[in-house]
Amino acid sequence: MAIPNQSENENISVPDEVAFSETLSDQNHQTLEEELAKVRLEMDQFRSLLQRAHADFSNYRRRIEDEHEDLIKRANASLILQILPVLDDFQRALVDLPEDASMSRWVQGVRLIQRSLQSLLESSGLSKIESIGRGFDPWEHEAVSFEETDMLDDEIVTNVIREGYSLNGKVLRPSQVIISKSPTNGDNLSEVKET
Amino acid sequence: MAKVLGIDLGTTNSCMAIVEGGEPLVLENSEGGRITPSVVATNLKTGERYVGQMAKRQGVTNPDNTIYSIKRLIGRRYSEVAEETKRVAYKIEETANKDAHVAMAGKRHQRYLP
Repeated sequence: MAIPNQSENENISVPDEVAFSETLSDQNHQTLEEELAKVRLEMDQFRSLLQRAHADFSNYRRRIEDEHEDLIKRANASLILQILPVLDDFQRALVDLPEDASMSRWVQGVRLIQRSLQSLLESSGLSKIESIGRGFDPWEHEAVSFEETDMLDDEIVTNVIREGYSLNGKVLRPSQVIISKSPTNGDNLSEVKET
Repeated sequence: MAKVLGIDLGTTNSCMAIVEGGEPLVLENSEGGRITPSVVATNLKTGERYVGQMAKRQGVTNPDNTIYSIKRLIGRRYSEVAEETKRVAYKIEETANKDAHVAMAGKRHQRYLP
């Protein structure tokens, strides 16, 4: 591009700002206004998008941290949940043992295997939920039936059908329990049976 | 920033999800489950309300006030829900305008429109 020399520059009259704006047609001015509005709108949209993406990322990071922490605590939960029925079977097998068989070496060996399995699971953070004599709590118990009695207050656990366990303080499997109910309030039982 | 929570309200179970990073994400409930039983209950003695798995666990002890399968009643007249009335343990009543309402037991006989 050729650079004009000094003498030529002096001869060119540069229009001032007012004069320049006057040269723009109204149509051009309107077009520029529209483009400016469009760019501003786009800028707002991008700003909103950026804020949303930033919030998403913060939430994502926080959730990943929580999940990681939770994963460490409950890494074995799924496996232990599948082993629990074996523990239940051991308990069922040994609870109704004939008296003459209870002292046999074979039975003692089975007891040792049960204790060994239980200790192994307890060392991983498993603990049994104590239920009998306590008030019914749906966080820890699942009511499967009730027993009419006037010896106890309502909703006291009288029997455990299936033991419940918690893992590192979190309920892994609720206890299935039978709870007390005063005989006068027994109408609900018949309704449940009807359904 | 506000998010939209999508709820799949099922007759038996419900599920909640949001969109994060352009992908749908199913949320876990407080017990770590990705689905929550569509059950609610009120303990009239303590005034406590239970939702989901806990409501389900106490259903046997409190059948009058444990509400489930409510989706079958939404927007229906009492005359249309004769079968459902036989299947559930809670009470379904007819109101003056022929709608089906759920009646919770207790001293305050409360009705809820599903």
